[in-house]
Amino acid sequence: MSRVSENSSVSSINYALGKSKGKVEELQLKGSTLKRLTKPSDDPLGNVELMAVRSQKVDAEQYLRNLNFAKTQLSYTENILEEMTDILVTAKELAIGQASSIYSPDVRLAVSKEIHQIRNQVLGLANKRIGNRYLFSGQKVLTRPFDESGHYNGDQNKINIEINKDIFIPINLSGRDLFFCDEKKSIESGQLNLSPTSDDLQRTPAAESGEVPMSIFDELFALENALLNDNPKIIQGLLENLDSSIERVVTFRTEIGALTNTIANTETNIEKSNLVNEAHKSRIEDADVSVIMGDLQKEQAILKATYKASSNLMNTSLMDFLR
Amino acid sequence: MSGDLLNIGKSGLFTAKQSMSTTSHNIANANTEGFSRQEVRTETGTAIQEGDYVIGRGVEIQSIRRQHDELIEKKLNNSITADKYNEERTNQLDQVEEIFNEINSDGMNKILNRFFNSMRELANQPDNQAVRSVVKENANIVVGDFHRIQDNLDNNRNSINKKINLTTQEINSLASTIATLNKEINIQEVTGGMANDLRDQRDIALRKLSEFFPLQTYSDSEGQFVVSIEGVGSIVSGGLAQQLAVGSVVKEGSSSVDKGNAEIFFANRPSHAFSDKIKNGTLGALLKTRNDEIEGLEKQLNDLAHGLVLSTNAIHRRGFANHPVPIDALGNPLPNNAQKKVTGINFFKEPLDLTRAAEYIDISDEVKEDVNNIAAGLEANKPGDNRIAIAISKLQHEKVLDSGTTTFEEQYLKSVGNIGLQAGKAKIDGEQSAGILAQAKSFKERLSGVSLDEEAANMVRYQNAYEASAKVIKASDEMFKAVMSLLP
Repeated sequence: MSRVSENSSVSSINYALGKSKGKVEELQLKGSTLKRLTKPSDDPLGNVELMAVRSQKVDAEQYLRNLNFAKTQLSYTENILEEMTDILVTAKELAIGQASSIYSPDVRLAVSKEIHQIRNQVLGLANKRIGNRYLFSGQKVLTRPFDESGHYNGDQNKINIEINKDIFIPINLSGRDLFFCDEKKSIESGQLNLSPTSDDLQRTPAAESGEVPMSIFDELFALENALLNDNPKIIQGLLENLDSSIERVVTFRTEIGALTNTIANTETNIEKSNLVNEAHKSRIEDADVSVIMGDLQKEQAILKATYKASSNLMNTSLMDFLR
Repeated sequence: MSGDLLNIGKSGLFTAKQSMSTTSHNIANANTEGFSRQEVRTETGTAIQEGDYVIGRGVEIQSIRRQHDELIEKKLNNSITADKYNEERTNQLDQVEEIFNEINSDGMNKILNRFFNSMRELANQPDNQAVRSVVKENANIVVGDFHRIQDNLDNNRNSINKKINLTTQEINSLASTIATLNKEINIQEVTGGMANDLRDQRDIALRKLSEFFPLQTYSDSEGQFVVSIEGVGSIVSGGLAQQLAVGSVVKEGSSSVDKGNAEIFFANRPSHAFSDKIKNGTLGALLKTRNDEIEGLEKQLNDLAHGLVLSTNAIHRRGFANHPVPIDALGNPLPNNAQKKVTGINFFKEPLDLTRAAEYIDISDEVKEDVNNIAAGLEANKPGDNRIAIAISKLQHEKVLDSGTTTFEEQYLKSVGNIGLQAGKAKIDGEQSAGILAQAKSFKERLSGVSLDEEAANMVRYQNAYEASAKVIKASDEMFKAVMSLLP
């Protein structure tokens, strides 16, 4: 038979009450915040996972911002290319019309004026900017890419933007690639290698080549001159050049279309993984209300029972029965 | 013969009275802390031989002893030590983990993340002044958070050192108390009795002492009561108490900066600090938290700050500021414009000392002065060049730390995860040791505690015995009178 002393029963009552009350308090805190976690030790691994998921969420927000920025740039560029194609097609039609020698110099003069206008229009498009940034000057975004004579002042660099972790897309076309005919460069090339020690960072500024290849402006200028000089032969020769320029612009448009597609896909991907992350996050940090309320009720019942048992234990004594 | 009867009656009366007084002593002390119930042990009086018979001579009090078991007492002390260790660990680690708690607020991880993402925003618009200011502001917040964490760790360390100091004073006063009690117990017990109440008091002092460190008690060959700190040496031996002292000791071969940590040693042997040998109790918890968790976190924080500063600077220095850069005859950019650097600029101040990187981290003066000194581009005079900004933002996912095995986030999360685990473990261990302590206490109380029911029963028993003994005396008186009446 084990002996029970006053102190042993009091301390066992205290222990039972303290334990039960502590649990009720903890559950009440969870119930009031509706969070399963209030400090790292509540679930050390969950907490770490939560922090990582939150980082991904913040990253995703930034990627979506980058993505929208790229989308704006590219759709703006695409609009310009579309307009430019139309204009160049007009110029080509005029040139085809003037390629035979049936027209009089007067008519050619009038057409030359029209071509002059077209050249100015193209120049205007080439110098377009968003905000204060020129679209076609490579990375020299604050430098006007083309002057009146069609001389190019920008560079050939691509501006790449990260639209999802490790996925970069270029958001600009350099004027050199778009308006000059000697070499056709795909805008997919020239991505930045990101390791800080890579050659890319050590690369010296690209040397501008000395000879100036023919640009759309040169072609239009030549066309204008040929019309003024009434020289259908040159006009005929220029038709081929104009054709290839138009083709180049159209190709770039297609490529931009492909990039826009990539952006749309990436956006869907990011949003999808956002949903997954959100669900994951909620699983880690959010408390299950029904479980908490159930536990709380159970714990309160236990506490009540403990009170009742304690009061019985404390109120009876042999003294009551001795007289 | 009736004289004999009178004596036997008297011995019964006396014993019953003494038992009654011990019972009342028990009842009076039912709620006295550390009181062990006492019991009168009786034995039969020395019998005498008379003719063929051995005749009993009543009752004698053998001793009055307290109900006490040394093993239970030791077990109780051990559970107190373990429980106090866990309690203090929980207490300290709660504070430490709160520094890294970013469940409902911003913390280093979120802030670092924002910094890298502002670099991504800068990559979108390297020419935008507002974005540059945002980058600088976010870098400032990163710096501020490093300082916040470092300050908090320092505060925790200081409060632990202060607590160690106070604890040592308390230990010294308890050690003196025990030494004095040892002396008094010796004096009282020289006659062979038991100094029950003094022993109870010494046990109380020992229990209090068990809160601070694991202790061992024994009586040495000369009967001296010895108290020793486990793994260190005796602190009380008989009537002598060794005083402890606290001071800062620079450990040999320690490369870390001396932060004036409190180390414990015997006052008469100042060169032998033994703090690292105390593994349990409040002191053990304080020392472990300071030497393991706080120091470890500080190191990881410094690694993080150091790695961030060095890798960001290494990339940033290669870029060009958003200023016009003069070009030499060969077309190469010059490093200065009107005596002002346009390249090779640090983003953060270069740290002087790895061990204090978090304390001294700051944005470089150039960037503080002018946000255009933030280099976003790799090439000179290209305001749209964003390659440096991208490269810095990519550091977020780059394995930079621990000789290229972990990213900033991984390393930071590892630290936070670890402190969370330690705090969680302390809490669980604490619940367990509280249970064990409650059990040990109830074990002790079952044996030594006063049960009023039992005392009430005893009271009745002794009262009856007293009455019966009185009756014996009365009977013997009557018998004596009967004999006397025969006399003329």
